[in-house]
Amino acid sequence: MEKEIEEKFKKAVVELKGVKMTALESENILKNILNSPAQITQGKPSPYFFSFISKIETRKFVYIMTPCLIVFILGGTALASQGSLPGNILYPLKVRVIEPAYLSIQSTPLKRATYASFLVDKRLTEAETLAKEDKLDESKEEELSSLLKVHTNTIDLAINESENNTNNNLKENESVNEEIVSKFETNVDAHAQVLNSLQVKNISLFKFESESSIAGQNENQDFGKNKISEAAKEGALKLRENLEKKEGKKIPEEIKEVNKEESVPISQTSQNTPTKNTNSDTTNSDTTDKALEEAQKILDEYDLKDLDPGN
Amino acid sequence: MKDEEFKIIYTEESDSIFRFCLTRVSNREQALDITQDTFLRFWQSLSKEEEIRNNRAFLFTIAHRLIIDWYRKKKSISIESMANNENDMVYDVVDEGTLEEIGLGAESRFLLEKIKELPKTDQDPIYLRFVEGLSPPDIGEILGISSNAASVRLNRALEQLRKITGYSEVKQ
Repeated sequence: MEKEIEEKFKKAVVELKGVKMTALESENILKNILNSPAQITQGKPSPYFFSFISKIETRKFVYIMTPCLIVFILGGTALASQGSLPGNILYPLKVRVIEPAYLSIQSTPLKRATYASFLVDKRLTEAETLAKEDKLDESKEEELSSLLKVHTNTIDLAINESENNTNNNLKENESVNEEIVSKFETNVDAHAQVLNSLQVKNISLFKFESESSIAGQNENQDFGKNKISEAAKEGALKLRENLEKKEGKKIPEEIKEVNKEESVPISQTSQNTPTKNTNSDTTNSDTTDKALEEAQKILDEYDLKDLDPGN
Repeated sequence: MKDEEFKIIYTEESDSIFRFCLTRVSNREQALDITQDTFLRFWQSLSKEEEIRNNRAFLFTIAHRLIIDWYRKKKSISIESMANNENDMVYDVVDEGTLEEIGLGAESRFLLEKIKELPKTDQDPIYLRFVEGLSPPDIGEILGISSNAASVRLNRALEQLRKITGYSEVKQ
């Protein structure tokens, strides 16, 4: 009996196992599967290059537009900073990033010196703009003065570099450097006069508002000493001194004293000093003698012996 | 190479899968569709070079999930099953007409009817063990339960089956 039951169970299982697909059904299913798109085996994509490209493909807009947006914003900021003045939020970007970057890409010392001269001109123009609007306070003066010193140093270094470059023609070098320094002096002098007169005007107006009588009396008094113009003139003098030293000339002490007292514009002094030596046979000592002669003439003309500190 | 490998596996397992599907859905055509879908997904996994440790268990797992999906679409979910959070498939015995169509004998029909009387969670383990010859670990993998849980359900189901069928001497 028990065996019979066990046999029944086994028979039930065997009957169940007999349930199958027909041959046609089986063949059709196999055909459908093998012809399905899943049959096309694709190579395994590289986890590195391919996935990077595919990411860009899927989010093309983001990956293309984001760099463009960054460039646009940076470019716009740089452009906006060009007209900024001390005190403006973009001014540090202009003087500490953009201008130094542009200076660094100048390929020759001459170009660097020229650009640095342009920057000096720019600083002085900014000072004039602020002075016109009566916004030139002490902190801005300080900032502009320090920038002028930096630019002047740059010109000096560039001139040194060109002098030391033995590949260049010596006389041509001297001529070019002289031109740079002369132009620098002229510009500085012109801007200094403008700045000083603006300062006088502002002070006069101030005094007129507070004490009208005193302003009238002090019209002729020299209020023209301006920190920025002083810094610019010091820079010009330094350049002149260094240039003369290199060319074997020496500026008389009296002329240095004269320039410090500010009575004589630097540009006038430099114009009368013979620095250009076109004659190849002239020695350095000859040119020094000629410079001394000319300087003496100037002293005589302005009667500056009276300004000798010894008196 | 993959084609040949697939054909071999298909030849060996297609009837088992079809039988498994047929004993759960009420329609031969539906059983064929689910069988085709099962092997199609298996073929896609082979193409992607996915690691498959046990082809047979993997095929039954796919079929099991496809049948659940089909039931969820076809049958309305009862409040009782929602409350019980039943993830297991509701074992549905093939109706009389289909049984005749596939030519099941009296003994096999009797066995299937008795399996239906078992608790729902015990019906699949019994079928997979005695009809398809799968081991408790494989059964656990197919049903998404541990090997121990599969063994427990199997023993419980066997004990119950003996009582209701009179197959008291049937051993594993």
